[in-house]
Amino acid sequence: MVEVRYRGSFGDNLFQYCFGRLLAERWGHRLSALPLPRFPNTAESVPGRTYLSPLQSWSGLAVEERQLGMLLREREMTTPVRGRLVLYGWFQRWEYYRGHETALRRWLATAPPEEPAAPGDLAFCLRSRRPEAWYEGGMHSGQPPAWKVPAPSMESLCRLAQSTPHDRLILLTDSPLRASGELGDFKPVVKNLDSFASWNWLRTCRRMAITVCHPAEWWAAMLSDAEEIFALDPWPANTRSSCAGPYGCGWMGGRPLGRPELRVHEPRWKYDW
Amino acid sequence: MTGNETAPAPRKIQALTVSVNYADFLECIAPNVKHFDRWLVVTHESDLRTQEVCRRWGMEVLLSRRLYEGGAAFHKAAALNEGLEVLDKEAWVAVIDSDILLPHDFRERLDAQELLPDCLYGLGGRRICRTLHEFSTLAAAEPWADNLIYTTFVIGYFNLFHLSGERNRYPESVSDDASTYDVVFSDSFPASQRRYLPFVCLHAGDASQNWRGRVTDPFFEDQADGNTRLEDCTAQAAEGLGGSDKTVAQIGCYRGGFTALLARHFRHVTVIDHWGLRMTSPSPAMAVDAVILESRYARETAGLRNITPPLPHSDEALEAIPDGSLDVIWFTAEPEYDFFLTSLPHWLPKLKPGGSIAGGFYEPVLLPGPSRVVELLLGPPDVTWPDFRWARVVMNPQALAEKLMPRPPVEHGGRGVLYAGAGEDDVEALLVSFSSLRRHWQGPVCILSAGEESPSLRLACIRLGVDFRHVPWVSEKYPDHLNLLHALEWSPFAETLYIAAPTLVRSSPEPLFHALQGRDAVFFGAQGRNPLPVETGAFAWRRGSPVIDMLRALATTFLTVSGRRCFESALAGMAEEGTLPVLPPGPVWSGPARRVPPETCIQEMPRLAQAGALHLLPEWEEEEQALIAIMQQPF
Repeated sequence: MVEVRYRGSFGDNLFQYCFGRLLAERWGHRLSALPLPRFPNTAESVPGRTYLSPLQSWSGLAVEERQLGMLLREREMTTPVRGRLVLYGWFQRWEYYRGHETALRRWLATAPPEEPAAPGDLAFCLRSRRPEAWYEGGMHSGQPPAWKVPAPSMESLCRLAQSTPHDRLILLTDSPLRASGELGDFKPVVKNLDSFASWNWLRTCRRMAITVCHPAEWWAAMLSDAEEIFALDPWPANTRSSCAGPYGCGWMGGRPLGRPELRVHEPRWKYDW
Repeated sequence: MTGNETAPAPRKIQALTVSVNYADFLECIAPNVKHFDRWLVVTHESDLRTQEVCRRWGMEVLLSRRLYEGGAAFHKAAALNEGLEVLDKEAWVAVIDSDILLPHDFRERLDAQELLPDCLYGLGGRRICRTLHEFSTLAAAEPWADNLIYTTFVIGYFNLFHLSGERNRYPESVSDDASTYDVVFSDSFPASQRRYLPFVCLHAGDASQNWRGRVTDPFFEDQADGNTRLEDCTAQAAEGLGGSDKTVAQIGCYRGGFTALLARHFRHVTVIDHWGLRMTSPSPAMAVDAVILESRYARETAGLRNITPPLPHSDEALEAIPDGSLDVIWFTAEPEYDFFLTSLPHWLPKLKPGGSIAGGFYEPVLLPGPSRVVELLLGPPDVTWPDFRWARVVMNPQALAEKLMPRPPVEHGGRGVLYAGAGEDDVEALLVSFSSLRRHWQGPVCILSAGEESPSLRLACIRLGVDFRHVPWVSEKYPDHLNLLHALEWSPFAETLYIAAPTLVRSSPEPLFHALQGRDAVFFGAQGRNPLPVETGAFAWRRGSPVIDMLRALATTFLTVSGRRCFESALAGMAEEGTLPVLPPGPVWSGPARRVPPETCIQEMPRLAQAGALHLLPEWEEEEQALIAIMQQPF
């Protein structure tokens, strides 16, 4: 049995449900997960083998994997856990979901927004709050790196708005005043929507700029038919851990080892812009 | 390495412990002595009691000269280094705190592990035992699999390393007490050289208390208490419950002795592998350990003909057991809420009517946690034994199973009432409110438990036949109101009426649903001295309401400017802008109780009543008594 216990907000819950269902279906185990609000297909029964114990709990954190003596990597997860697997964590790695887009789209099918994005819309997502997973205690003895400025930076967005043809600039943000002020020259339309509404609209957009660390926006981009996804990966790429060995030392150049790793390597995802 | 290869050559393992004014704890963990070739205890000359414990148990004593050097509070690193100086340099050293009890077979299992001399080894986790009785009970009840505390790195309560290694002294400059030195020491090993052994331990007493020397109360008052051993009544219990025609399922096998005992007293024993004795191990170290544990169990149960091999705890194993065929179901693990709640509905149908559920760890005063689980789910045991074993007769196991079996979540298409609780503090008020609702509303009700699941709320919902859902708490950094606002998103209804926990329902809530006609959300105007423009005791919305979505988005945005009042600020802002549908006051009332208007459907609790003084209002007391009567009925 694979049991999903949700934590965090909307986008985090999408990871948790989908990770649990992917494992359950792969292993032929029963899935126990509360249906996600507004996603009717997540109420589908996923039958299969049920184990009542032994209990194994996965959080998707590198530190826990160290204790288990394994990494939660795709190949390691082919062997079913012959026990009661409780998922209580983040599971924010692209490798878990890559190649499963058809199933994911079906599970997460929902009513389209009343006003979907127009073909000429360019959406900028600006978030000032750090993702919940970053606050995870126990990820490492130290502190996570500070997110000092909203990501992406205003300068980079201004450049992008200038270089990318668009009819209308839409700002999806939790800091509407600041965002609309600094991008005022582009006469943006500001949308301060809740997580679901924002996700639902964004997935209809053809061009967007997001940070890969924002769970809901990552999902919207991943499942969308967008032609161009200007993505900011705030973790520095290609840096090496100062600690030897497969597990590193917790943080590697500001990136928490093991989790999350949401950099999507597809042509439409553009990181240098 | 696998268990089939040649066992490694014997190693010399020395132990080192600093113990000052910790003789009570040291006494508890002294049985560790059998694991080590020598055990050196560093103490202070004034601590005669520790020296006496060492003498009795055959530990070596080193009187520290550096523990308080330079006015240090408790320079543990310096004392450890004094000990390391005198130990054999060509051997391993296990540095253990004086309150850590290792598994009884630690040495045998350690000897089977491959150890690399340049690595630092810690333990997989520890169980904190706050009282002596908890400690004593668990010490006699391995494995210690539940309620473990894990650490994110190898810390000082257990360090195993080779003294010939490059890093063989603790850093002394980072603190003058028992803190920090171990973290710095651990960090000095590259990550790949910091490893965990697949064992766990017991920690006697609270952790993280005595950094600057002993300040906590004695773990026990005198030596006699400390040596008190619980009378082992397992045989007596098995004899009392068993018989030549009786069958038992043993859920959880670890030592073969217990299975053998049941085999003597029962006609047949179905053994269930609760701890994963036969589970595929995810790491080589665990696999090596599993070979030892499994082969020991096989050895200790060899020749018994009336037992099954350890069966996986799966639906397939359960299906093979006919319903109503077992006389006793014996849980050997510590009763744990989540496991019992999940397992009982599957096992109870296998029990004969009038059969017994048996287990251990029941003593309401000394072991309140597991005892409460037993009482909540099964009721007080019918018989108990001095070693905290217990048995409860279940006259109608099938009926109890049906009550406890979780119902699959249903998406209600229609309208319903939603409550949300955010912890044990909300439970009483919420249930009283629900009780008052039931007088006026027979439609669907769903109760959400947001954040940490409230066991008492879930079980109350089972008794009351209400849909219960455990939903996430979005962020510890959010104020409660904002988290609750997010929790409401999990409503299963197309049209939801939310009723706050501390409210009294005085008449049918239908008018509040009617108010949704032509709107997708509805609030009611404030009355009395309410500083908000609307009442929050009850409001209604349709699924996907843009109003509620906007409220949630705004409240989150206001978090940075309004802090804990972000929800109120968002409500006020939307009311001011006219984007919040607000109907005239009346159905929801938060003013003085004596002035409740006759048209009030939902009355918010006065502050005193919210603080628990429900009896101050006769109507509340009546509801509370009615509820207590329901809750006291047998399950």
